[in-house]
Amino acid sequence: MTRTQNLKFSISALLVGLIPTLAAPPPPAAPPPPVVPLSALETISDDQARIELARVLSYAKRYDEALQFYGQALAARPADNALRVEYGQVLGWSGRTAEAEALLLGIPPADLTPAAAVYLADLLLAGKKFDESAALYRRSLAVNPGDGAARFKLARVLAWGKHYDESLGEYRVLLAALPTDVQVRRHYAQTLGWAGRADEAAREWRPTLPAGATP
Amino acid sequence: MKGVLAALVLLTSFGPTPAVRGESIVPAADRIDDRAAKLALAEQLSLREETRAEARSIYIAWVAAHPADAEAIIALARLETWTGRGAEAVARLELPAPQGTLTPGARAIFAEGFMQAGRLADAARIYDELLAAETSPGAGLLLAAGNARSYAGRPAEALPFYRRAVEAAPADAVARRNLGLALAWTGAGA
Repeated sequence: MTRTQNLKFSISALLVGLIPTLAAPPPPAAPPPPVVPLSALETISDDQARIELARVLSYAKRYDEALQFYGQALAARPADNALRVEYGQVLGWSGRTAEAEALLLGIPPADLTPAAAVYLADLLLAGKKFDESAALYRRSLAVNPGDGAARFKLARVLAWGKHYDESLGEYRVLLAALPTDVQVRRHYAQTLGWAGRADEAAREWRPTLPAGATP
Repeated sequence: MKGVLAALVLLTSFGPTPAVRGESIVPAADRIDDRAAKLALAEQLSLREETRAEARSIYIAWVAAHPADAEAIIALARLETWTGRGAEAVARLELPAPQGTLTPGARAIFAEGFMQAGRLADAARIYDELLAAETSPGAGLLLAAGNARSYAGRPAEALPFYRRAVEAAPADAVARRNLGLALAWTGAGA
């Protein structure tokens, strides 16, 4: 091997030895944590922080603590009906249903969310306030006409208030969408019976029974 | 039109799948089970003379399979009285299951069964018990208590019941007629 050849070999060997080093460089040092300018942060007021905390506590069913924070937030925002609606619902969930009912009844109906309207209607049912409950279910259904659970509640409360024709109409809406829902059909049949329409009631009861259930 | 639109919205929201899977939008606590559905069908069929035979068949089959179902037995007994089978009504109500849970309504059926079966003393006894439990009994119950005596050939005993029935419902034509008859038979109206 000549001197020139030796030099070439050495350079090649050096390059070959370097290749792995070039292919996998050492990991870079971790970047420093980003410095977010304060101007980019959302400013969360103390009230908002309390409300978010109250919500989280209510989801965790820690109602007493949730109500405490809702109360503090409401003291700062007494005219915030959306907040009062939330507070009212959590009051009810905590078992203080009479207070919840009174509070929610004090809110203009237009400010009740559909869910709050249904919730208040459920509360009013305990006092057999059928007409008031029906009005609230209807208010919710006007916004969410596909809410089958609310429509079922409306149909039942109309029947309990002896508004059978209206109740049967709501059941028919449900059955048009859910023709194989046996339970809805049974409630429809029951209401037909209450309405004194025995033949139709019997006709609706039959297909809800298991095959071979009748002689 | 509104109903059709609402149904369409519901259809797109739910589709037929929940019931296909055996599910329902009806909350579990509000569901009507097969037993209640079957008895409800029988009850509706009981209300029309033409369908009472089918109602009776449903009740009889159910009670045969569920001899401890007092509610079904009482419903069957009531239907028996509606079709003039008083003795059968009594026989069903004398079974152990209904005897443990005889409500005032069921006791009235029992008494009616006794009346139809000609066991008037038993009927009178039950009517008396029902009357004792009422602070202001209705004309129907007072009339029935009077009839249990009158039909047994004791119109004098029926008189006070008929008088009270007329006091409770002065416009009740049957009460007035039975009181008139009892007065005539006993000579008390002379």
